[in-house]
Amino acid sequence: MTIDMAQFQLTFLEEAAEHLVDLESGLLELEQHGQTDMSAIFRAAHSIKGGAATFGFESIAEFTHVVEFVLEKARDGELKPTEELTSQLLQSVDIISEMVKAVREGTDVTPEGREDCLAALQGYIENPDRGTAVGLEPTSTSSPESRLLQITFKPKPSMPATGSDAANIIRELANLGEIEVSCHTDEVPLLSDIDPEKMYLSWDIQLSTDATTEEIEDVFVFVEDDAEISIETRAAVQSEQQSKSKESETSTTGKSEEKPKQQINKKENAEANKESIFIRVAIDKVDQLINLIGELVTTNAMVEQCSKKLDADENQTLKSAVVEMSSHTRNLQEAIMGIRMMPIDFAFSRFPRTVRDTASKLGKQVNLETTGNQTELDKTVIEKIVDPLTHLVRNAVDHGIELPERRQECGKPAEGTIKISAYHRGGNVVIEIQDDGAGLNREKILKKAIEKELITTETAADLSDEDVWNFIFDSGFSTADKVTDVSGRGVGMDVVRKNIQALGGAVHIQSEIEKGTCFTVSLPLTLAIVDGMALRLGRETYIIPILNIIESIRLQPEQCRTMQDGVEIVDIRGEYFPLLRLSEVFGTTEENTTSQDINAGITVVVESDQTRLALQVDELLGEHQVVIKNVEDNYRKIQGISGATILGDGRVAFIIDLSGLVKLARENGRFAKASKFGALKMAQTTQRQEEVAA
Amino acid sequence: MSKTILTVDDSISIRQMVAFTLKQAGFNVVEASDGEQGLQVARNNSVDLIITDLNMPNMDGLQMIQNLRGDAAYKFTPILMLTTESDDTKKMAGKQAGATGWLVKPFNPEQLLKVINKVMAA
Repeated sequence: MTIDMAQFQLTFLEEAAEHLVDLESGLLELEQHGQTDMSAIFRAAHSIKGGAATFGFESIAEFTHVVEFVLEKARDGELKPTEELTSQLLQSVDIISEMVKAVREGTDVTPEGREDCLAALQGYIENPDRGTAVGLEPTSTSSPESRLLQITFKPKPSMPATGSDAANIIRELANLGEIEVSCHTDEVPLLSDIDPEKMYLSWDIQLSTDATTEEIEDVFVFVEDDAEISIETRAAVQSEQQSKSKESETSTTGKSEEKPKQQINKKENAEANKESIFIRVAIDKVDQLINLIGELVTTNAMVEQCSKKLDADENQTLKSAVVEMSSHTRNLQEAIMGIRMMPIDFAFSRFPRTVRDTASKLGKQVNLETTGNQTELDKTVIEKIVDPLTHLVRNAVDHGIELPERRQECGKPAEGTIKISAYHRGGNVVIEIQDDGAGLNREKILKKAIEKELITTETAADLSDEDVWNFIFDSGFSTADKVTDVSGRGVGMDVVRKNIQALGGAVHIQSEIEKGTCFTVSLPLTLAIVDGMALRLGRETYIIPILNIIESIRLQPEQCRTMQDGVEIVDIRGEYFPLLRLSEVFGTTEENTTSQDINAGITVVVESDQTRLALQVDELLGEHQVVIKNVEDNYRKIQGISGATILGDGRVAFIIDLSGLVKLARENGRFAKASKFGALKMAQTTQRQEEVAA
Repeated sequence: MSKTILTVDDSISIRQMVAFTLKQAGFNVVEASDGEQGLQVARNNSVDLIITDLNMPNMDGLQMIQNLRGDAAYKFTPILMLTTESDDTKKMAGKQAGATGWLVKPFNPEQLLKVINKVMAA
């Protein structure tokens, strides 16, 4: 039978990645607290090695074997887990990761430093047993010639206790040639003395075979300690072979009693993570489900819409069925989206390493605290957010936390703290990265911004703190005194923001000099479906994500004022918001547009990027669950539009991207520069800043 | 009726490979991810042969074998252990615990079937 191993390789690679995470976190724990569950990390390395060898990744197996050996020594207390050793082991984890990655991506590169690391590890073990011998492979190459063998096989009475059956052995011998068996029953006791669980028989066997001596010995490999076995060549055909078989004659028994009992790992971590039953499913199957449910949600909306037009009395059954179907569809959708949800720990788990490496490179002392690791987020979102978050974390260590001496001068503990937390807020997941470091330097950033001609000296004073902080997201903007290999090149922060925005999320900064900086990243739970409010502009329908909507209100003309620079603002219960007439922004001003008169349409107050603004629209059409279809894939990016969806009646509606909208409006001069509205920002922002300050 | 084999391993890929190979060869396969689960599965099913890894969380292979040998139903059932170590101490420890035989990793499907054939009549 031939079995294609390739089908299991992918599972192995995935599994290896998980083991590497365990290995790494175990080593970090060891480094920090001087102890960890050594058996667990040993097991992780062990599993990687075993799998790699089985699935044909020899270089991984070979390398991991040495790592495993070192870990085994450390586990058994033969090696002290010095800092040097853990560092070396952490490096080896990286190398294994790279090898795994190389295999996954089909590139054939040997990770840099592999040989050095291997040599260093071997330095820890005087006698690395490199043997990964395969027990059962026939190793003999001696040409098989037919000959007659005389075999005696006398099992110990205890042989059945290990599940060995003499009949199997004789059967196996019989497969090797012509066999003649005689059974000795002279040791069978009287019936009254028989222990039915013991073996009392022995055999004389004549075997005419062309099998090699090794093959014959192999038959007895499991019972060689449980039986007296002798193999003699009766009629030698080749003298050479005779001598060979003589060597292996009469291997006697008794070893088992003398051998010391191998140290067995105790049943540790009793609290242990009981593995619940999982099945592994290819991600594209899940994606397909998500696509299908998306279509179903759309179709359901169509059916709903059609049924609304029907007469209620005549179609009562149909109508109630449609209501039921909608509820099932919604539940189904939630369940399916749930499949792809993963705890954000998948992203968080790599930060201890990032912090450790960055801090040690810079000579800083940093303590990392994470909370909310179990907060769930769509897998695709997690995958895309890992890199931006890593960048922010690394920046926090590099730019945020000061050197120990400097911290002490400021009266802070030498060890800095970075807190990463995740939690749900509304339909968003919020991730905060907070450091207690130097904070952002307003003057320094302004100076740089003026230098780069982003602003003039005159306008600089008008800018709110948050506007100033936002400059660090501009490309090529770095205030680091010197460029290090950690950060400071000014590439990255713009990418960070772009990536977060591409996910439909936003990032905000709160900072106070000498107190620290907090980056708040908010992300949608999922990328595929959004709860939206449909609204009409002229003849077109647009969608605004419900989450962004604060309220909808019909305004009176006196609530609307025009400022000197032509910007309109509205007064809602004493709060002022900039007003944006959407029909103007999207150029849908047509004869049916009523939004010219403020009291003819309706005003929707929305919040985006912690800024509130009022949108003037013609009509609200109701809540819809909309499946997001990508526009960029089929056309190109449209500013102010995050995607499109198909409505119940089959028409296409655009989904408004509020942060893009604000930008677009600003460019068109319909919206004053942000500084004007510093005072209008969410009360929450101030509140949070106070919290940070406190 | 085809024989049932229990495979116990904390590595999903190895378990998958073993299970696939065995199913191809016409066996029924039940799986467990550690010794504790292995005991449970063995006790809830009638298993004709057990293939187990040694290094596993919660309960390792040796302990599971010892436990199984204490059960009347599994006193004489062939039990194969998977081991990466080719050294004899591990094998001896396994035999003492009551294992019938072993299979050294890495192994391929052919070797697996060959060893099964060694300890269990088809």
